[in-house]
Amino acid sequence: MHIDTRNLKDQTLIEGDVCIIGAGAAGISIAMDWIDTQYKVILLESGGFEFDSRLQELNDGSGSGQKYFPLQSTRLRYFGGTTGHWTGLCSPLDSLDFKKRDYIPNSGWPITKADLDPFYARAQKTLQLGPYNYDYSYWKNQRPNLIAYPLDENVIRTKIWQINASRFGSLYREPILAAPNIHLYTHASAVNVNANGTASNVESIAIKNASGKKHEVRAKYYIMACGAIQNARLLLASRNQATNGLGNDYDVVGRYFMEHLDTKAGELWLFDTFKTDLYSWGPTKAELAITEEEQVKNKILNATVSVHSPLAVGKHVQPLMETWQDDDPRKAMEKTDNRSFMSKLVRLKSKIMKPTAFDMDCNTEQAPNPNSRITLSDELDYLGVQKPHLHWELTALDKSSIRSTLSLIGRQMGVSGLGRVKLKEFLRDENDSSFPEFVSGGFHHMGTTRMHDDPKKGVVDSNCKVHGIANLFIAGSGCFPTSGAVNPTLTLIALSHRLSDYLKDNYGSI
Amino acid sequence: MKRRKFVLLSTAGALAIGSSYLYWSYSTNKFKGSPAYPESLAVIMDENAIRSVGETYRQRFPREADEAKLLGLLGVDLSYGNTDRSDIKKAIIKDFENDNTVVLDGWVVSVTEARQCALFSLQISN
Repeated sequence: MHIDTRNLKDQTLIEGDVCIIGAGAAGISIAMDWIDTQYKVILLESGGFEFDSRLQELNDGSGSGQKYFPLQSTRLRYFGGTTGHWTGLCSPLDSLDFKKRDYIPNSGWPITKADLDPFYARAQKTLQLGPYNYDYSYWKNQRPNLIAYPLDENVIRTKIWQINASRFGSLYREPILAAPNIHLYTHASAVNVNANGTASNVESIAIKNASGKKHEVRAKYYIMACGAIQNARLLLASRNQATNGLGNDYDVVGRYFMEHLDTKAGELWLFDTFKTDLYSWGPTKAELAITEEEQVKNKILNATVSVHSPLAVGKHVQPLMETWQDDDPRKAMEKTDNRSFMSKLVRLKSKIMKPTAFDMDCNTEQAPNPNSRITLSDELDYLGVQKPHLHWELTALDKSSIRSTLSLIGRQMGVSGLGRVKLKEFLRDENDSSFPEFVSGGFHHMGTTRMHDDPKKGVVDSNCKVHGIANLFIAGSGCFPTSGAVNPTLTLIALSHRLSDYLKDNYGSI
Repeated sequence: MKRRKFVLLSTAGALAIGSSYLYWSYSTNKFKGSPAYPESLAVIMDENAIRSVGETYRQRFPREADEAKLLGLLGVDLSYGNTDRSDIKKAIIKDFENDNTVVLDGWVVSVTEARQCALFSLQISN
């Protein structure tokens, strides 16, 4: 069922059992879980069904610290959310990502990989991926031409990805609209979370739209699924009953913002051609990664290294952080896609010439850092909500981990006699922990409402319930205590399914 | 006169270029035959890059910046008559296995390779 709030009478009261704020990957995954249940689900979407640049302005915000993309262009504000332009790269976090690692301050999840495994399997279906199997041997049996470099498996592992850029807007529009118990309200931007006098229970959500109408949503349970930046922003901006913002008694909301550091970190020079499809873009591809034992031994963060782009092509491709600088995501994408006509010509030539030199694109986990954070700026958006301010701050561990990862791969290339690795200029000085401006993120916003059993160290508990507030939950990668090295979508959907089950199983007793 | 001058100048120019090339070719090829020549690296690096890696190594480790010292450290028979490179190859792999590596000009190379480059850079400049 679909209702456009612009057509409702001003000050309408909307009531249901469960209110989901945000119809992106997390919100839609949860809503799909609740179809055909006895519960009335209110699904709020700030946008409509199509891109609207006026609504997109609501994502605007300022920044400081490490150079970042314009916030306005990093998320899409319409039904389906940012799945509207994502690349579809999926892989689960590793077991180590969930563990406390002594050399990484604030690491460790209150749940394990095994806790999430059944939900990963469900998320695979939600994303229309293949089986929940990320073992190299399995995929090698499926496609014999997926041949891995003969490197020491005790040091270098083959990290498998499955790729399917599912567009939730088109994929799930019909079932959501057809479901009698799912009430999708579009043009419904949440502007305040209203709590009771002691801020221990949410009583309603205030929503607005560009036409100036205000409405109120009341439900038994509320799930915030607006993305890591907007969830933190909304909590910080909801100060009627909590001066520091809801769920923020210990000043944790907005802190620990994490991204994946995505950069050309080195070059792989092979002595001879190596025939394989394993590292090329396809429904399944692989990257090089360091084994868990070696990560711990070398005290480094997790990372994956792509080796599919010929060096000759890469020379003609500008860094993403340079091309993606337009507020309008469509223009930013156009500039990024057309980075260089020359690169396309060289890529064509490379297919014929069988290249032996490749860029090493490193995607690295960012260490949880309380100073890397979302706060509110003094500027208001046109709905009257304070805009977010991102201070993206990286650490020496982030940089040394990239350097060590490349060096470990370099060593193993030497042992195997396959070739040599060359580090990029910015990694060569071991005493320099600064990052150049061209280091990109992956548009992966994480950590701002992190999960921890201790309310002083996290915003949500292991069930994604906000500490101290009985009926408020958060879905999405904002709950990640650590980021791992892989794209967050598969994991955030798995967490969303887990939250759905928890709420269904405990409905009425929480 | 003009034609004669042109022919003379052209010939002189050609001789100058040719002799320079021959000298360069002789001096570099002379070392290519040596077991000290970093054969594997030469597949992926040009001679300027090898020389630069060698110079960087010598700057980083000035105590080794000496031909006799480097020959001793490489510890293999590097006489020009010896074409057996198996010891060097084994030493390079052993270096990588034991993390006896160094990053020079960004390249992750074995210390043996680095010393080969240093030796090459010294020999080619003499």
